[in-house]
Amino acid sequence: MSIKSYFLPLFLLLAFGCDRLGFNDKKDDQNIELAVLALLASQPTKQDMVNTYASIALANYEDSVAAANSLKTAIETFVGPSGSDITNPSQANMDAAKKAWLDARPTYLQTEVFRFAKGPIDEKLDSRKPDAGIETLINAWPLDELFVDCVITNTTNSNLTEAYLLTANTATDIASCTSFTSADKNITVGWHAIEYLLWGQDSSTSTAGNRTLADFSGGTGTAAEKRRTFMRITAKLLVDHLTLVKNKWDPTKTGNTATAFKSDISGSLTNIFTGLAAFTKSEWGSQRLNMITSDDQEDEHSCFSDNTKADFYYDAQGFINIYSGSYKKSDGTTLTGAGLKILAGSLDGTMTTNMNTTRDSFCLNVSGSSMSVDSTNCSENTIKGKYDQLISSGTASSQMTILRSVQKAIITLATNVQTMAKNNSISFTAPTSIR
Amino acid sequence: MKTYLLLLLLITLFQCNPFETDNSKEKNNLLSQILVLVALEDLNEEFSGGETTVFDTTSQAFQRSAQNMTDVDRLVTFARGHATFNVVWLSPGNSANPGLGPTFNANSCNACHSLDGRGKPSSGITQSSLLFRMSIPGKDGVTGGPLAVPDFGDQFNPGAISGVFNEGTISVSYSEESGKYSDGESYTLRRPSYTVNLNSSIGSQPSNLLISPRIAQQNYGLGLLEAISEETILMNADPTDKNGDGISGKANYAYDPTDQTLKLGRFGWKANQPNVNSQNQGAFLGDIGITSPVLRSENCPGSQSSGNCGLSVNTGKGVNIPEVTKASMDGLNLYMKTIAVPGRRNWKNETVLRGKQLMTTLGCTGCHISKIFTGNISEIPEISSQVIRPYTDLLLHDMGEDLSDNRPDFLADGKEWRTPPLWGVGLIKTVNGHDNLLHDGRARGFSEAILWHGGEAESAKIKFKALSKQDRDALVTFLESL
Repeated sequence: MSIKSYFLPLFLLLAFGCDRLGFNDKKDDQNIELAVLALLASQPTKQDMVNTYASIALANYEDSVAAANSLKTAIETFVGPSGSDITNPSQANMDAAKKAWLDARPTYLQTEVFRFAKGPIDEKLDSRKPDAGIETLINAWPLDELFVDCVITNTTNSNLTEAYLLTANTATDIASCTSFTSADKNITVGWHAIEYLLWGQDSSTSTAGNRTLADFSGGTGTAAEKRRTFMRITAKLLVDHLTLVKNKWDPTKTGNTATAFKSDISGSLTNIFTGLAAFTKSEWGSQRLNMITSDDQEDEHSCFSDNTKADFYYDAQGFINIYSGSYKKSDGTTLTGAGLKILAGSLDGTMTTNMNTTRDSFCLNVSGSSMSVDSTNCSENTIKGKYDQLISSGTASSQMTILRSVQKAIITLATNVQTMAKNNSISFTAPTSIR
Repeated sequence: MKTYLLLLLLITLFQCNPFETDNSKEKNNLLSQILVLVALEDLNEEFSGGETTVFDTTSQAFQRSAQNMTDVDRLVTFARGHATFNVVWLSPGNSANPGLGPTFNANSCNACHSLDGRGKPSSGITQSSLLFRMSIPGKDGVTGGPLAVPDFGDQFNPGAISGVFNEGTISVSYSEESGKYSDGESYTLRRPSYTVNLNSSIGSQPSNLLISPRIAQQNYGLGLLEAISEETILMNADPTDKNGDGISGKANYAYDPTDQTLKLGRFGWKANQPNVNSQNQGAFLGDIGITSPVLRSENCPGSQSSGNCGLSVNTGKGVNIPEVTKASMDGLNLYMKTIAVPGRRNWKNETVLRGKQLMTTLGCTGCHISKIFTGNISEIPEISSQVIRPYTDLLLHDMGEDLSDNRPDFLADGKEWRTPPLWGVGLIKTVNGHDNLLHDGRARGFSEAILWHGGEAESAKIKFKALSKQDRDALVTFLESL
């Protein structure tokens, strides 16, 4: 490409102004202009791409830590901070805590795209639980609800400490809860443990989980007291664990891996592509969509809160972020740089279409403390209802047809990622179940 | 294709036998010449699974989809099947994936066939990837298979959901036995013995209890093995050893619950399962306690039918709705049928080639047949008409007293075992981190596995023991290249 070709977009930008192209934010204007100037100087390089990936990861985990902190604050407002337990919490604060959980999920879900890339999220970072990958302490799913109930029933309030909940996580023989043999599903920490505590079991398609305020109301020695303590500790651990991951991406922190990541371009490219294909194909595109054939109404990632559609939406957004090299931060500003797109070549068109399909097929219509059903504001080819309603609609329903085409688009994306790696001579290890 | 025509021509020529019958020396010479030619003609031998073969030496080598499967719909179904394979089933009463039990060996397919690979026995009483079939003498009136143990059924389940009795404990211990190769080098083999304690809360342990330990096997290439025509398999059968080579090769006929008929057995340690579908549904019910479209009744034999056993029925869906749907089952079956066979490494290496030659001269290839053709499977063209190198004849062979489980299984007696395929065995260490072989995982590596061979393989084993160390190592190096 000759230098001349860059003058055209610059000319267009100057001629039409940033506003007409949709960039209203002042900061964005500056970013775009800087980006164009950078483009003039040289084409974005693989180094730029690796740097951008790392910058987005840091910004995204920073946002996630902040959101988890807000959740922790909301939970402490609901049940009281440590040492100031509230025995008769309010419905308004319970609803606020649920809302805080829902509000905190989008930033975390966007970080899921960084999994399987031999990055911080795949490491074992909590020295108190040296054998556990940090991701399993943050977002393990599904969890054995009966095990959580059993631990709450059988333990004493004074026993419930951070160390205890970390020990109980994936244990088979704690608090006499010995008959639970799916050890890896005996989950006491992370997003979904908090979700279960806040919402409770959901066996209905019309509402989310039906836990009532009564489950949190009661004095010393009650299950309610233990539930409050349990949730307070778990919320704090979530912030701790996300911070451990965030710090690894922060080049100003001792022991960070971001600096090494940016200096080893070839190795990092391999990890980025291998991880992205693995996440896309094996996790997002298959494990999370198991219900397409299982016909199990609550076989959904956020089954207690009925928030699963957001999980899919923001997982897709995470993919779009690193592909386009652009991340919209929680403060409203946008971080831009070089995305994987610079290596896509002729695949760009199909990948863009598939990416947008995987995101926009999920009509979010968020209102109140849970996903509502909205058939007026959602366009025809989107999933309108709640996710468990979608499952119950049966395999022949038009909504299920949409979901099946989403799965096809995700699997195709994974194959595209593999082809991209091959076209750019990036050493690539195919993930599970990719050729 | 030309090479096969040449081969066919030579074989036909040989079979026409234009020579004098007493001129056996010349005949043998011609035979060796043909064998040399066959060896030379063994082009593409690195493609163990034909065009499905994937060359991957990572820990995920046993989970790839067939290389030649590019159809997006089948790839999506494959991904769905893989998801079903990985589902961790939870006790009834949970929101997601309920249905585990009432009794079970494990909570997911992957728990025993880790990464679609091979299990190993563990010390003590926890036997996660080693299961035990159990029976009492006699035959089941319906299936013709082994007669179930009253109150316990035909498989030992050490796990149970809350409120249900587990079936007890079985522990394994080993005694080391030493021996010597002809050149004086010594070795030790570990002989397992099992202590069975069936849970007396369920019923009494019969004095004539028969148990058969079975380790979880690798899952790749199953579709190709299913695609071999029955005629091809039976061509190698020689149950009465008419040709006098000391090798029988007997077909087992096993019960298919889908149409309630007996069919040629292909899978399982005793060729006691006729096809992938029947194997998968049997494993769902027997190993995890998951009901499926064909096997719809929970496993609650005899006294276990009371109490909480019925709890495991998929609550809210009705008794007759299986816990795993037909769609999930179809996905899992396609997954199992189209996992790529891993390609070979170092197939041109001189030591490997020497080991390959020894496979033939020792007589190993009498049962571990190196090359077979698959037939036509219209719904999965990828596994049709493939030249594959599974190193098995899928038939039963007497393996001697030392390996006997003394428990009949359809037509297989205690000493008879199906020739296990050897393709991909060199990667078990990479995928599963161990080298335990044979039906109960007693062998620690290839040499020990060979040394346990007896019965029809006795002479091959004796020849192996007489080899020089260099040649023994070469044979092992060959097996590692598979």
